[in-house]
Amino acid sequence: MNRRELPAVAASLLLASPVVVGALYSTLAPLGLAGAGANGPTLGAIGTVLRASDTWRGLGWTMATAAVATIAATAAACYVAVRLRTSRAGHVLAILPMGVPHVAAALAALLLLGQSGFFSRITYMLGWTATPGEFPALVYDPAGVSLVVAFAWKEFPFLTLTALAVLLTTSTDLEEAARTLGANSHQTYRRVTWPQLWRGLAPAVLAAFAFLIGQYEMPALLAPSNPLALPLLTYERSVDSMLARRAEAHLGLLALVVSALIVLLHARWRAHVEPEPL
Amino acid sequence: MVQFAMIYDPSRTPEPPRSVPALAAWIRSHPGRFTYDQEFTGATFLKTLMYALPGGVESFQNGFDEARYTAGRDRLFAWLSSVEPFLWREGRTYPPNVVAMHRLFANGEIDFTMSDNQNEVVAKVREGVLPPGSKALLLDEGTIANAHYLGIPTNAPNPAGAMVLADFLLSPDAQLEKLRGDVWGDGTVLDTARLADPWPSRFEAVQHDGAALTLAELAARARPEVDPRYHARLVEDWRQMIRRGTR
Repeated sequence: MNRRELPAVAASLLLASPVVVGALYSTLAPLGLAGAGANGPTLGAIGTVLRASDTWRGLGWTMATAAVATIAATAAACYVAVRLRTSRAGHVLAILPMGVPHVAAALAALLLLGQSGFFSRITYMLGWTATPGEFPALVYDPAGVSLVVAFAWKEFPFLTLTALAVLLTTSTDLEEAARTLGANSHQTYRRVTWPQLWRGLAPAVLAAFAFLIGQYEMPALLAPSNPLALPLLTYERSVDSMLARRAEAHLGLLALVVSALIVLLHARWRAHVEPEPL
Repeated sequence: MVQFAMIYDPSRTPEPPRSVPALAAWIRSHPGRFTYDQEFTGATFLKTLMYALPGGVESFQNGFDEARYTAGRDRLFAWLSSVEPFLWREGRTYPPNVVAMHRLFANGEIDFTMSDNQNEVVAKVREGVLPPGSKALLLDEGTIANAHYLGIPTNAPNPAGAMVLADFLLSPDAQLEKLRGDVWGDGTVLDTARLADPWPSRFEAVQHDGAALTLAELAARARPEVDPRYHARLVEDWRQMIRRGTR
């Protein structure tokens, strides 16, 4: 590190400090070295968390819903960005939902998709359903349908914005060359546009996925009680009436571990496909 | 002072169940219309049932006893299993908290919500959260009543000031204000009959707030809290055995 990098490093450190301090505390507390009721080094709480099937079910369910939502949002964002590359109005409309807070998006999903929600009221008016219970369960459902929809809807504008930025800064020369050489529009997209788009979009896709894994307020409003999503399980442990169990709230670190792994894997992949320029 | 009560809408449920056996029969004859939440209010409902099933709170008093707990829990979980297929979503999922319960109730997805505060129905109807005309209901077997407590931490910088505040909160003035439905609707810990005039009549006036249950009704069905370990163990076992369905 040279002297000119110092301010930037200091700023990064300041920004990272809540995570560093939080992670440190969340590591020391379950080891019995910090926090209320800490009495000596122990691996008890960590063992309990790692052995509990709730932990892995919660993590698996959270990762699955986040993955499905991220894939759907990425596909939609790529499609819209490619189609609307030159439409100003299209850009604005696609990016509009970005300003909606996540909790408001979850609330909207609840009010639209719930068994007594907007769509249920329409099917009732049409005479298709007679009671709320006849409308399909999309909220608090084990498949997490409303959660995935809300997740995807919130990630879509962010990914669209990024995809547009990538496309608008990429020269169309390669695409034109491919067309000239006889590639059809599908081939051009698959062989030329997509590889360039994906390279620029990948960090945003991974960021969106990592963000969803740690998302609390949307599962709090939409997720089922079984399996219990990782953020909900973490919160439940952190406010447990048995103080000793609160040490198990450090399972929230699993989300951080997953995010860190994603970043690492991405860095490895980047280094693989984009060797340092000579 | 608050007491657990179920909340119902007489226009939807003119003849609500008023005892634990009647509740079980009602749940079976109205599939998908009853549930309870995963947090504190739901746990109070479960404890109320755990007291009622063996015939009273007495068997759980005088400290925690593993054998009595296990017997009480097994009886409760057998009761829950017998009604589970008739619960909202067949008991495969439970509302996250009492806020969700109120919303499901107000939107007609379920026919009962509940509260740890017998007067919550008064306050929530006034706020427009619950349908007008909603009423509180106690089970004949009794429901859990408990008082709020104030604690002064040993490292409090100003314990004298905290004591003055505690005195104020126990004064008739503060207790009456807290009792008002548009303020909090929280019951008083004072024996109002022993207060000097005109306090008894003032408390009486607030109590007779139409939808509110009378003090006599509440007192007759009030049951105490027991050793907190019963609560902690029951919550943990419910999460594992009922919510996750590993029973």
